[in-house]
Amino acid sequence: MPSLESRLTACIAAVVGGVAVAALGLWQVPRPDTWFLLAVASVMILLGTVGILFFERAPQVSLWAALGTIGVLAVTVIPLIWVVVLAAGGDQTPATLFGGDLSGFASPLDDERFADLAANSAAAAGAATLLGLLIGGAVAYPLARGRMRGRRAARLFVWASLFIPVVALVGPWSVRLIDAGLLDTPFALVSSFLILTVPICAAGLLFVGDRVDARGFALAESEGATRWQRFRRVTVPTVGPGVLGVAALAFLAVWNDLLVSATVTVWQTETVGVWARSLADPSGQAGLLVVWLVPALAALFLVVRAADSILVQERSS
Amino acid sequence: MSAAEFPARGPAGRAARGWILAGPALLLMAVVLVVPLAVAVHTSLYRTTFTGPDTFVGFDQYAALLTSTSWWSAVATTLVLATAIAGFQVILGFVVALTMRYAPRLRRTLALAVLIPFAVLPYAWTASWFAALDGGYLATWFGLDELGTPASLAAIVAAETWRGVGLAAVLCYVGLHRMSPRLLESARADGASLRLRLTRVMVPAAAPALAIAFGLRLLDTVRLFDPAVVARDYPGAEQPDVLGAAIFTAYAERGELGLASSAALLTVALTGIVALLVWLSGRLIARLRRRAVDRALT
Repeated sequence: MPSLESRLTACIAAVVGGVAVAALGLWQVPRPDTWFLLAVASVMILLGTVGILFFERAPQVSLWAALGTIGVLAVTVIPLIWVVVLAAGGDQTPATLFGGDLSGFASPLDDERFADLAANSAAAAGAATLLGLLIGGAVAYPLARGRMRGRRAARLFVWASLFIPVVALVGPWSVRLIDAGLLDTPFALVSSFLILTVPICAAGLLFVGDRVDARGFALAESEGATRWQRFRRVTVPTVGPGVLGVAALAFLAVWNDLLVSATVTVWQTETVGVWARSLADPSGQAGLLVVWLVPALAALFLVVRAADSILVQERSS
Repeated sequence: MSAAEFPARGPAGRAARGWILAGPALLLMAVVLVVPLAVAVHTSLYRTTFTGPDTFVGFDQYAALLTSTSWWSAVATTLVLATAIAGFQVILGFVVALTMRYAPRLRRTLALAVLIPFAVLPYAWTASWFAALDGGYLATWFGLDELGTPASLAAIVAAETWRGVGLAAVLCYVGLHRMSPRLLESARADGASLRLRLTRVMVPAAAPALAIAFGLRLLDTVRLFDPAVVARDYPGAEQPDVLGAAIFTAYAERGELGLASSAALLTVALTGIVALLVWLSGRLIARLRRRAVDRALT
């Protein structure tokens, strides 16, 4: 339970912070952004005041956490609002965060090339993630569960692979692709994306495997569960969220990639990441960001779920 | 051969099975990662271009890079930017992690909120920060007239910091998650103030996780690429000399394959040195922490 001093400090911080935000809104920021900052300031000042008046009645509520939540949501939401406003702004960059008209939203869906590029990105990301999971899983499983000689060196290799600069790998690989006449082909794209997905999958699955509590498997075996029952009732719930989370991370890395695609594609297999560069104005790029973020959010849900599941398992074990 | 001679069961058998499973996959992984590096080593020894004949030059290109001021300037810029970005990410990530710890019901929502920038298209994301500082809402709010060097660097640092705060927050949260609640209870019972609890209990308890988070984010940010490319493409923006973007330009746009390969391998070596420094710092922090605990116990 938070101490009196801690709660009082949180209340004062909320009020002072609220006043500072209100001052910025009133003296520095033009309308209609002023109203947004005044709304944030009001919530903060209200939180501080309510905290001072009622901290005896609800001691279980952490005022620091409430203040932090407001701050986190504000600083996360503002840049995202800006992206939407920018996308709707057209050639002229909007000077304020609010007050624009969303009817001019620059949607990439209107461009005839977008569907082909999105298909390239999705197919390459799917294939590279699947192959990455297969290779990474085959590497991670024995390294996480086995006790063989040379295991530490192999684990170090897996972790180190995660931080090798991608440009140092994809550049030389593109030289070989040029020599073989394979540049700008699906093979070039998927094989190059493995440089991204294999290290993420191997290291990620190793991390997941290290944190799996093996007692559940042993218990199910001793209870006489069949192989299928053990897989369905123990393996899938224990490892499933982690594997999906790792797959989502690898998928996101490829989904948003610019470097690899820009090095090994020219036109035929170009991806959305490279196309973003060819859009001349920030407005079009912002529109692309918004549309391209929607499928990525689904992958992000899986990542958050996986992280949560691993933490819960760690605590229970 | 009898059954007893073939180690199918027991520790030796398990080890053999482990390598039978892991061996081919590790080999495949090595092919994906080591073959390009081997190609880079070979290419770096030649002056190779897209069109002209290959000329063997030995280690001349490495020597040329290591004696060039522009190379060292790019190294310095990359390291300074990466350190600043990783530092901001860990500080903000720790604040978010503290919030997640004390608002457990909102943990998933907060994690999702701070991880959203990680899922956005990095090129367009950085461009939106440049636009915000170049006549956009940030320029209006803070009275900025033009997109000079400070604003360009601020756009890169802000865009990249926001993209990685979520990951840093998750790493910091893991560290805080492992901290025993009794530790804080005891400090509170002993009358430790908020500042003392934060500086003497929470930060030291989370120090290994913070060090790991900083190290991992630093190693990831050394590979900085997209923001540097945006800075080059954005009209009127300052173009920081970043290793990743310079190597990409040499490979894909200027066709200086040999020189680019030499630079790529030197960058791998630099990343290795940074990783070694991060590992040594982690060990030092762990040793200092152990010593502090021993001192407190005695």
